[in-house]
Amino acid sequence: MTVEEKVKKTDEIKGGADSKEAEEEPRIGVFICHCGHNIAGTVDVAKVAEYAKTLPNVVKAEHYMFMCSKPGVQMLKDSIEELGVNRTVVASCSKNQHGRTFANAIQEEGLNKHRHQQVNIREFNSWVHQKEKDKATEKAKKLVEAGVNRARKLEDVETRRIATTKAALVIGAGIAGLRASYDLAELGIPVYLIERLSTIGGHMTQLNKTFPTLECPQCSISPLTNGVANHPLVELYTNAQIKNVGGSMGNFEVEVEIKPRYVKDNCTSCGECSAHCPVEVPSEWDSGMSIRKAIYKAYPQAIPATFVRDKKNCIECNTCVNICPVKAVDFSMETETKTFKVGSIVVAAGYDEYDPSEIEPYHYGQKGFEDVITQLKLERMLAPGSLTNSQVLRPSDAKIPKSVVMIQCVGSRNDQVGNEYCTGVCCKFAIKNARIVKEMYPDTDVTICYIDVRTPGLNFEELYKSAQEVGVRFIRGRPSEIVRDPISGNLKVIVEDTLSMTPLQLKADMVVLSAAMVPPEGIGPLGSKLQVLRSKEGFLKEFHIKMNPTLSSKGGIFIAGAIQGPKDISESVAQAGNAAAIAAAPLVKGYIEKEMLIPSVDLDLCVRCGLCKTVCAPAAIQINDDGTPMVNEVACKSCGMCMPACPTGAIQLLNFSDKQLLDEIIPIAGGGAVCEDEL
Amino acid sequence: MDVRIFQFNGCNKCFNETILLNGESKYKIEFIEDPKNWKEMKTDVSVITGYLLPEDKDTLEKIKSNSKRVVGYGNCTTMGGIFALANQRGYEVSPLSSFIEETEKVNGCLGEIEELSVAINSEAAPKLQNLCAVCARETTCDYLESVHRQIELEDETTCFNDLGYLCNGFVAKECKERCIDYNAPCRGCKPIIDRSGIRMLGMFGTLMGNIEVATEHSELGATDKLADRDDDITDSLPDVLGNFFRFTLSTSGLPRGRIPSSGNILNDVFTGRLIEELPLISGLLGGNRSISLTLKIIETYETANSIEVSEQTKKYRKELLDLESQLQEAIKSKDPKQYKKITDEIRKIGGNMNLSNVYFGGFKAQIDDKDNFEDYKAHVFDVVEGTYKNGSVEFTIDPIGIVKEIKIKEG
Amino acid sequence: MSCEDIEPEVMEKIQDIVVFMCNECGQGSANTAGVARMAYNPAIRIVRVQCTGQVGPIQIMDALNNGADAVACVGCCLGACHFFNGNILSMHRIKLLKKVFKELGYSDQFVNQYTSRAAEGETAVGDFEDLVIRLSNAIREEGTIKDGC
Ligand SMILES: Cc1cc2nc3c(=O)[nH]c(=O)nc-3n(C[C@H](O)[C@H](O)[C@H](O)COP(=O)(O)OP(=O)(O)OC[C@H]3O[C@@H](n4cnc5c(N)ncnc54)[C@H](O)[C@@H]3O)c2cc1C
Ligand code: SF4
Ligand code: SF4
Ligand code: SF4
Ligand code: SF4
Repeated sequence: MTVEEKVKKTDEIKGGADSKEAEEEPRIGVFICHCGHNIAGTVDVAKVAEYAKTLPNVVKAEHYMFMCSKPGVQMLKDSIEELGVNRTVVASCSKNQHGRTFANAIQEEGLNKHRHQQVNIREFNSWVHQKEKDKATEKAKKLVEAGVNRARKLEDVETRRIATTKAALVIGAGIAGLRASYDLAELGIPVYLIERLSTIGGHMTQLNKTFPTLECPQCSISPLTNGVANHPLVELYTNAQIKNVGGSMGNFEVEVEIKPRYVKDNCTSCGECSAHCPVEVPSEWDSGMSIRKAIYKAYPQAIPATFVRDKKNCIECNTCVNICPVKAVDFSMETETKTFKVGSIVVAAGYDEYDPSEIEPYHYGQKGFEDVITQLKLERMLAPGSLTNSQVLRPSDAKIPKSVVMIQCVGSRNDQVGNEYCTGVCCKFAIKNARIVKEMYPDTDVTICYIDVRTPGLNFEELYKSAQEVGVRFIRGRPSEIVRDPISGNLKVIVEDTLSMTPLQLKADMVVLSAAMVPPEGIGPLGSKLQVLRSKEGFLKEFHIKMNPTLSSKGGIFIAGAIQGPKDISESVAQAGNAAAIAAAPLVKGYIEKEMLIPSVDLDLCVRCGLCKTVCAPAAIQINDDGTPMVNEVACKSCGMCMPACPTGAIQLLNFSDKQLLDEIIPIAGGGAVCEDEL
Repeated sequence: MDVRIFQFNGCNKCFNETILLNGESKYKIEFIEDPKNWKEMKTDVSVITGYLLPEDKDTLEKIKSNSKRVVGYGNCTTMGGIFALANQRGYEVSPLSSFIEETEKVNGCLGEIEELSVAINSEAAPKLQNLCAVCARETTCDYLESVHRQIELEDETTCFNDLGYLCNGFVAKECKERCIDYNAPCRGCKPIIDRSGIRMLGMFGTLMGNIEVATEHSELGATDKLADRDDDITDSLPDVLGNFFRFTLSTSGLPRGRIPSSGNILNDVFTGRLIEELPLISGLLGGNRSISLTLKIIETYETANSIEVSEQTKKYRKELLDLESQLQEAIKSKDPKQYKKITDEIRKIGGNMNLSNVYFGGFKAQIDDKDNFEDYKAHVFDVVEGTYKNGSVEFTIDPIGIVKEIKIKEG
Repeated sequence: MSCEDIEPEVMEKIQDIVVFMCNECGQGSANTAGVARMAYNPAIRIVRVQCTGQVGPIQIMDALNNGADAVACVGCCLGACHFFNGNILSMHRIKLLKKVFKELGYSDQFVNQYTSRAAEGETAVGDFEDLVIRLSNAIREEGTIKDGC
């Protein structure tokens, strides 16, 4: 059977829904590009064009020096006007490179842009077969024939406008979430801000000073926290968690569970309840560096200022209920569930500090090693109003340490704990803290053990230098162990200085681990509710690292701040601003445009098995009452994964149907029959 | 109308079924059991039954040139059928359409006689539903956690596929034989689509998406690829061909097999199959001897592995054997009434002409409302490796239950 | 071994290999390989699909039935499929198809699945080479898929 006959025969195959009858006869224009020498130097373009002329429905086949140039594109346009070409095939570079150029050109002439078929004979052919010119020409012929076969049955793909809901939901009220919320609200978009803790501000509020300028983070963040909390368009929900997410880009429905504070809004923040509460537990916000009560406010400046009761630790003695002068404490408050209709979602769930207890030789958290702490704990010690009165005191005996050793890359750049990445921020905050400690206690030896010091960017090299100048010692080497003298209880850090190749034992009154930034707890379930993909490290994955770093894998859901990967505050803020801007665009515009490159279901063939729904990762398929699937055209990502799952081939992606693929496959598979395929 | 019915190779079951057309006044029927030596004669409709081999080409062409219309009846003729499983071992069982053009087909194993009448009379075929639409089981098609071999006979409400037990119902039309009513998953004897086996492969493979597949690192370029070693995917489906392509191997587009043949097509069909599928296959294959063959296989295995069977089971089995000898008489006399009566009775006990109800240890569905089903209910059994021998049947199964070798003495 | 070591008479039999490459890392890596002018066997023909999850046994058999000597799917790295798990599902189906070929007495190397990384052309080329090498081994030992029909 010839290829032509075969292609004709594909129409007769049963199974794999039929593509619609083309209304008019296909008239195909084929254009082979020389790309200067890039293609023509290897492929005999004239021969390929000659061959293309012999293919059915081809009304024009040309070759030209640069198809992407103005005259080249004009050739394409002219063929439509003069010869009534209604499908174009350009054999040149990759689809990404100039596919769009040609598709747009035919669109300008009134053809649907999906009627253009790009054939890549440069990256996939001439450039990789430069030494085998004959074979490359033969291959080009086959690729062009496949392109023509495909073009013949290409169908128009409609682009549709979908009205959007003008509201946004932001998950996480760290600096990134706050920034995004504020920016969205300023654009006139109502925002629901969902924070799982009782206060907003995230990690930034826990810091002592922020690099590189050693500014006070509370001072920098408070205009924003207040701004958001008081913005008329922002509704803030603390103690809240995402329960369910439905809908798709432009129109989501998000169910949020809001846990009660057990203290009503008329709380005047007087603190009487807390003062009299008999229960004491370590403060989470203070990284365990201080004590809080069962009814408490995380820190004096916390927003919202209303106190909160921690039901788990409360012994229900009712002291607070009775003592509160405004009778704000109310144990009968219940968990609420609210549903918000929003057009875009911004996820800014931040990060957690890596728990170093996994790294056995550092003994973090073990008995006798109380003086091994993390940088976040050190920040809490140094911060104004801390339990130690901003002094650095050893947890074991509350003495000022005579020697502090900081260990870099704890949980970063470490395959053994599964984190290959460099957190990128730890060098900077370690240097910051080392300098602060050294400046406070000039007699204390402050040492940083590093693998590489990474301080790129404006002002950071200067920070590094300033630390060296005040006398912070830098040793290159990753410490192998922290040991404790069983009698004196003194700690020693064992490290090899890899610059001088000398093994060292550093005396350390205190060891500070620069722990990595890792994905926050609970991101797994959150990710699956949102149906967004995660990177192998567990952070939410951006759609494209360079071009679209704030869009998640799913349309309409955006990511900002450390949830996308370790970041410092400036980067988080910048990203949040960008996320807000692109999240706002469709809401401000009022609609989104989406290509309807979606599958259709042949209900005669569909046997109502439901497997297409199971495989559809963006959850674009719903099952109707009668068992038939329905494709949500907005949520569908055009992946085609539903196709091979279907036992009868009833569900077929537009322009990628089994039959269209078969037509394309026939010439490039060689065309020769193996076993005569009995259909 | 002149109707000539030809039996080529194979089990005669469909050929026998055409006896039912005998005596209908509108047809003038001639049964031809030796088509090679058939004296050519013009005819209105030729019905072909049995499986076809390349050497049948001339005969088929002869028939074609003498007939106004040619109808293939039964899967063996229309798509190779069960005998095409021997193509795994180099046979070339081929569908009618690969010999002569313009044929009509009535699929099924057994093909349904009503559908044949419709085809002979060139009436419009009734539109049949998908089998699942008439199946009592519910399907959800969530990803499977594991694939099963022996059916949990207790569960009668969940789709076999959801239980991890391949059922071809999705790609099959509703039928009269209805294996699914007897706790036997459909093997797709009446496919709704072309290359149903390949499609099911895609479907079941997808359904197994949660079961871990073996991958390894590729040295060149250091990316991932499928590992060559076996994994849960392959281990859980020891006989993909026999289960997914039971009737469609010759029309699935798969290349002809290269496994050495035993020289006997019947033995080749059985070899490679799973022990739990043996009764289902022998039920199809034996034609007018299917009852004795199936019971022989079952009883051999039962005795060797001391599987107890109840008196009631024995009674029903005995009845089946009696019916078989009566059936042979009816076939000889070509008496449609008698044939109908006996086959109805066989169906009552055996479930259908493929004996889907007959199984190791008993029966899979209740035969008579008055019975106590627990008395003769089949149960899940263990695979025991070994060689089983009993007079005319001899077979060896390996530790996973694959038939390594089988000998069935003719007669 | 490498592709250069394959005997000419075996190489002769490797004419058409259909490679389904996903729109993301698959096409990406082949483009990167092209830009870097990394040579590979001209028998490799790339078909663009949205995701390897879109390719089923139907497409693979279509390619083999129409003369392909081997078929491969190349998708994103495991865990990095742009559509969640398309590459994994494809692996499952290909694994079953491989089993079918084995049961028919053929080598299971006529269909394969690989991953590649868009930024690294060598991953695509490595996959192609691995494919050609495996195919050549299969042909040497068990003949091509066309032998026997
Ligand atoms: C020791 C240390 C020192 C640092 N020093 C500096 C510095 O000096 N300068 C600098 O620029 N950067 C510094 N950083 C980095 C800085 O902390 C981060 O860049 C910044 O906090 C990231 O902000 P974010 O909003 O993305 O995340 P976060 O601050 O972590 O905010 C995330 C918020 O989301 C909430 N959340 C999480 N999950 C959910 C959920 N499922 N539902 C609802 N809400 C959720 C969290 O409770 C939290 O409030 C330092 C980091 C560390 C560890
Ligand atoms: S009732 Fe609970 S929260 Fe209130 S004071 Fe007593 S322990 Fe504290
Ligand atoms: S093409 Fe992909 S996203 Fe669209 S319905 Fe199918 S599986 Fe879902
Ligand atoms: S996979 Fe979907 S379209 Fe196909 S038969 Fe099942 S329910 Fe119908
Ligand atoms: S696949 Fe089989 S068990 Fe499942 S619903 Fe269909 S016929 Fe019934």
